[in-house]
Amino acid sequence: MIPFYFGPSANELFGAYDSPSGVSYRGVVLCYPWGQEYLCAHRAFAVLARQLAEAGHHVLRFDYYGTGDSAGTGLEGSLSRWRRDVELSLDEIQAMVELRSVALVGLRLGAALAAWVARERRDVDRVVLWDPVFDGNAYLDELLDKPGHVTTSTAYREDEAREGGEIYDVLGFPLTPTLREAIRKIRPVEYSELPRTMLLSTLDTRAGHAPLIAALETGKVDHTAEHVAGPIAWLEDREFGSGGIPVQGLRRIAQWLS
Amino acid sequence: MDRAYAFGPGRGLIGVLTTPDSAPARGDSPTVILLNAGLVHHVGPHRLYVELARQLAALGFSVFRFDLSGIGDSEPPRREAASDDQPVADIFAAMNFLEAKARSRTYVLMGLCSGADNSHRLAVADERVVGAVLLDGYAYGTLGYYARYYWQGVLRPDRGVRFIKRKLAALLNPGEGEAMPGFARSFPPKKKIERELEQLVARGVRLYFIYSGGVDYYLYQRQFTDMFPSVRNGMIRVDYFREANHTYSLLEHRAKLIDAITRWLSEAFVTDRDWTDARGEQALTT
Repeated sequence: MIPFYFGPSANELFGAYDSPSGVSYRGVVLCYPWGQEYLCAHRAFAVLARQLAEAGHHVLRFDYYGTGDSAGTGLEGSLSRWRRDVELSLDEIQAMVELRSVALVGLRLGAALAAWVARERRDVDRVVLWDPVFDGNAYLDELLDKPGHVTTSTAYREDEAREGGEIYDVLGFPLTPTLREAIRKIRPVEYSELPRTMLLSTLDTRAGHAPLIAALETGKVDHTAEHVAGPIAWLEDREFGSGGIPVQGLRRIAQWLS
Repeated sequence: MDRAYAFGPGRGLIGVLTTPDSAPARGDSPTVILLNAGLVHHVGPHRLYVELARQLAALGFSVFRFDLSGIGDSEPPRREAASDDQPVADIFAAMNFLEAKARSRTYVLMGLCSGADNSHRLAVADERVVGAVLLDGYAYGTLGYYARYYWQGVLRPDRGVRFIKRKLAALLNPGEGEAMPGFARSFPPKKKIERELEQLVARGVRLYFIYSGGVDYYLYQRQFTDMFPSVRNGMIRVDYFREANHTYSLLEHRAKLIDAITRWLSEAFVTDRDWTDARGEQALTT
């Protein structure tokens, strides 16, 4: 793996590039989830990147602005900015290597970002939606309803005055009013007009994704929906302080993209 | 400024070096190395290591955070035989890389949980280590500890049963370390750690132990002194952040932790001039 920074010098993003062993013209950009889910899922993403590279893909994963090793503070993150980061990463991998096809793989909130970008960019020919967030209100409820996970802080007072609302600290990740409002607008309909799509669920049953599948069908998206039970990559296993590795699920993603 | 590197055998280890933006890193300051907390990759729990690295860089320190073999972005160990000694080999590789890349000569190691354990091991093994910050590092039972532990759990007879089981296990396996109550982590024998701390103090290594309220093997401020009465305390500072949990998940607790660490590092290693923090305020004069 080659680690590097890319993007505008004042706002650089951290990238991790895995190369295939042979000649290949296929690329994949991986889109992390947000917050504690990002920290937990990092382990599974590193494994997925290696598996995809072994299967013949150029793979780029990156940290959104204000997250992970990228520049910026958590308060500066927004869905519109992260969406631009996905686009920037697509441009970056295509500048690094010659590609004839490029796919996006997104987990949770990363799946929503991947879908938005895939809908707009003609160069994306496949997208994998892994346990996607497709109901913003339900996702916010999940984030905010966990006892002990959400606090407010006097340290945010100035930022709250600027934002015009309370900032919640979700296990160390600031959830600003701007970010909350943008997340609230995520609906199944956002997942229309996509290229070939794989919907992979590792937590919910297929029935839990019924609204999303209906939206894909209404939007005439060429899609496949699979449920692969296994460890959840984005939830913390208290024993290890990290998420699990859903071996079967990762294998299915690599198979489908190959 | 952050820069990413692949280094070590086969360039399989991955790290990020944060250096001061405006002024060159102070040549005589040690480079700070942040070590993985369990399986959490090098950004640290709740991005703690990134925030800490950037604040320390604003004070003139270079800070390197990297992933040990098999954790985060780094490749798995190259040999199956790699075992308990792999972290030691990886940290040696990091120090050798920084010596070549950033002309670092001395180091302060810092880590939480297993990162604290690895900091201790390397501090003992390599004289280039001149300091260590150990977050929820080794601790052992004392009279004061057991009194508090069992008083708090006086209505919980399970604690008494576990105590007897643990003492029986220690009697049957005297060479092994003691697992503290309520926690899965095993520590080396206390006498070994005490001897090593004495060696470190004699070598002039500065040590900062910070314990959180998130572990139930450390329960009061003076427990460290009671654990290691023979260790001279001049080179050692101990703080107990009772209100914080093990990973400092709350913003206020992380801010307090970062403030404590930056102050300690500056007091311990910036001695020949006044220093000013990133906001241009005079923060401390030594």
